[in-house]
Amino acid sequence: MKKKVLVFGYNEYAKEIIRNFIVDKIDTKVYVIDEISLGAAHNDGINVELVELDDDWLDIGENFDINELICFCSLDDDAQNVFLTISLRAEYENLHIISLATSKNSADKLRLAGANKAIAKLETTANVIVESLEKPGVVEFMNDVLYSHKDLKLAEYIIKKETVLDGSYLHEIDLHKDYNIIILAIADKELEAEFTFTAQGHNHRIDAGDVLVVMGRENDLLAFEKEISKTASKDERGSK
Amino acid sequence: MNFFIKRFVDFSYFLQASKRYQNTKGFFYSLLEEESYPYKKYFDYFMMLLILSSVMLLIRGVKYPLPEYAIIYNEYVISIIFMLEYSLRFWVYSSITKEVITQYEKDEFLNKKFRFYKVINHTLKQKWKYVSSVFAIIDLLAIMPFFHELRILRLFILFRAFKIFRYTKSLQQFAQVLASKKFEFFTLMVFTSVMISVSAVLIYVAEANNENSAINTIFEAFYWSFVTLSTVGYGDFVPVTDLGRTVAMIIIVSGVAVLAFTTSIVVSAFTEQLDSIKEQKMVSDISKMKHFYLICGYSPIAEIVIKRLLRDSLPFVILEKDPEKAPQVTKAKFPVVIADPSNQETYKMYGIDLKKQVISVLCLEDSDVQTIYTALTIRSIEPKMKMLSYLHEGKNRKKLRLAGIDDIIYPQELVGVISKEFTGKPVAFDAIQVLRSQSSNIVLDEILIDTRILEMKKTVLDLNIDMTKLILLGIYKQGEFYFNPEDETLLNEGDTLVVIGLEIVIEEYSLNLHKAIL
Repeated sequence: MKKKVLVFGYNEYAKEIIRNFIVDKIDTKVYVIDEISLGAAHNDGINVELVELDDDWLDIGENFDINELICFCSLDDDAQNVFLTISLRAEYENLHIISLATSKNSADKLRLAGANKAIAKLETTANVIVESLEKPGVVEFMNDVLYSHKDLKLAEYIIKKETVLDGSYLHEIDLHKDYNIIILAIADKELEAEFTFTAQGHNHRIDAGDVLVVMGRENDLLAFEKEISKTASKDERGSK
Repeated sequence: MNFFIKRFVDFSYFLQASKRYQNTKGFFYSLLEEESYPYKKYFDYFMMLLILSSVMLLIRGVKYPLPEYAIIYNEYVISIIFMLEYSLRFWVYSSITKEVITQYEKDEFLNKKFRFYKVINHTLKQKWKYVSSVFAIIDLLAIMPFFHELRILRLFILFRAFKIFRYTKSLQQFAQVLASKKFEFFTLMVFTSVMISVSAVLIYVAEANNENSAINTIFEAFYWSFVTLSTVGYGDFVPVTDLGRTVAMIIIVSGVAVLAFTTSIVVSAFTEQLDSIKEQKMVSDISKMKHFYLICGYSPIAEIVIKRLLRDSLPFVILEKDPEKAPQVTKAKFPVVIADPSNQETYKMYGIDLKKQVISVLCLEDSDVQTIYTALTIRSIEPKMKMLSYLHEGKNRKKLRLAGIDDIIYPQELVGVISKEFTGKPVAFDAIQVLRSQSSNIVLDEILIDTRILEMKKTVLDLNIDMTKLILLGIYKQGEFYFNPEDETLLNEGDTLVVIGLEIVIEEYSLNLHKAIL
């Protein structure tokens, strides 16, 4: 998890984003571009600063470690968000930027402007609405896993070199009986999500650098993490 | 009150209270008059078949003698069926018993003598209204061939063709559209009549005494005027005098004008009535829908939800009060009702049965104020209706709950949670998003355990999930989620399996679960 969060804008969306990070005690700072938002954030006791949209953003690099930073562009206007995203990307190639857009079209523009993730507010909400009509069970399940604080969790592990699973095949491992864990998917490289879903039935070879997406209870996940970080013996590797 | 009238009132009360009589009358009323009655169309098809067969026999009979059975069929069987239909329509058109009771109770209340003549007067007026309607006259004429002794009445079989109008809605609508331009048609008719009369007289005066001219009688003059004005011009009668030819030139120009005027009247009638025709059709379509989602408010979010519902072929109806906001009824490929969802009358007027037809209501209005008002209207009609709503401002969440909304979707909250997941477990969350978005053929889905499945499958082991390529994430049992359930876990009715797999595999697996008992 990145250590610092920068949020641009102070509207209802920004407030919800901030609230989610403050719960986990993650250091959060807000940049606003107008006096009204500045006053509102001040009143709510938020660490806030007034900036200009056409700033060169050099002080971000000076004050934060870019590799540990994550930026949320949540300005009210889509055009402003695109401008902000492109300005930040121009300055910092490795900065993790997540931007909010009203619609899918604006989200596409944000991706072109260099956002790592663009969340289309209308489409996301509409998807949830339709999903709760079509698959109420799935929605309840997602709420249980993602949004509630029950002990069922979604986790991801990067396979390190020469560890137990490095070089093994998906079909060989039966985690759901041994560890009470289910492997959902494997991403070939972190963030460039090219997924192989276990349910697709391909016998994927797991290599170092792959990301394993698993689901399980907190204790089982901890035990599993411990197990997969063990280095495989030479015999085991030789047999693969 | 004399004995006879008293018995009549008693009998009226008896009929009015008789369930059997009312049901029978109700049945025939629905069969004959109610568009939404499911069996009406079969009755209409049957009648159309009778009409077509009758007209075909008439055509055949012109040159070839018809066999005896065909004559009996055409002149007796069909006529009797039509007569029955005519009588039934006459019966269900108005209720005499109701009239008697209403008048009787009114007079009793006012302490007056029962005014029987008023009932008779009113009833006769009502029935006359039916008998003198265009459709009833056509119906009556269509029965006439029954009295085949009068040979001329045979031709009345042709009126049976006109009866087709009664059973085909589109023809009725066509007539209605034209009827909306009565005044224009009347003006046109007057103009045409004057033109024909004047030119007929003129041509008669000019040509009748000319030996070379074929026009010798006033009838021929009228015939010529009519044929020329209509721009048909057969050429069997041709003016030969200068005056006659001048009249012809004038009447030809007038004919073109008359035709153009007629065309424009018909076209403008249709353009003006198009919306109302579409609306009528939509109301009838909605009443025929068995189940649908009701979307209240056509907001930007509703627009996207609709796209998804269309993609997944889920039935829905939109209610939007603002005609400027709603998609154009004439262009939309789905049912849009321009009416206020927060008005109880809307549901009655458009025949929307919340209890029977609506699966759940989606309040996607532009403001929380409107959402609450609509939700309470729906609650007051159908207290158990499942409702989902879009929340605009977080502070109104409690009010929406109080208004009885079951599921509240607050986009800000969704985005907040998603943002956090993207930063915490980006790959895992991406994987889940791929599953949820249905952009790949791998999906997260649910399978409901019903009694049919339970007959063969008692435990998780019986489900044979390991033999398929599906992944069973867990089971919902009475709201509680059991992750990665053990083989011995018992299945119950209403349990929901949450699975991941290829869409086609899930479909096939679900089908096989149901088929297993065969």
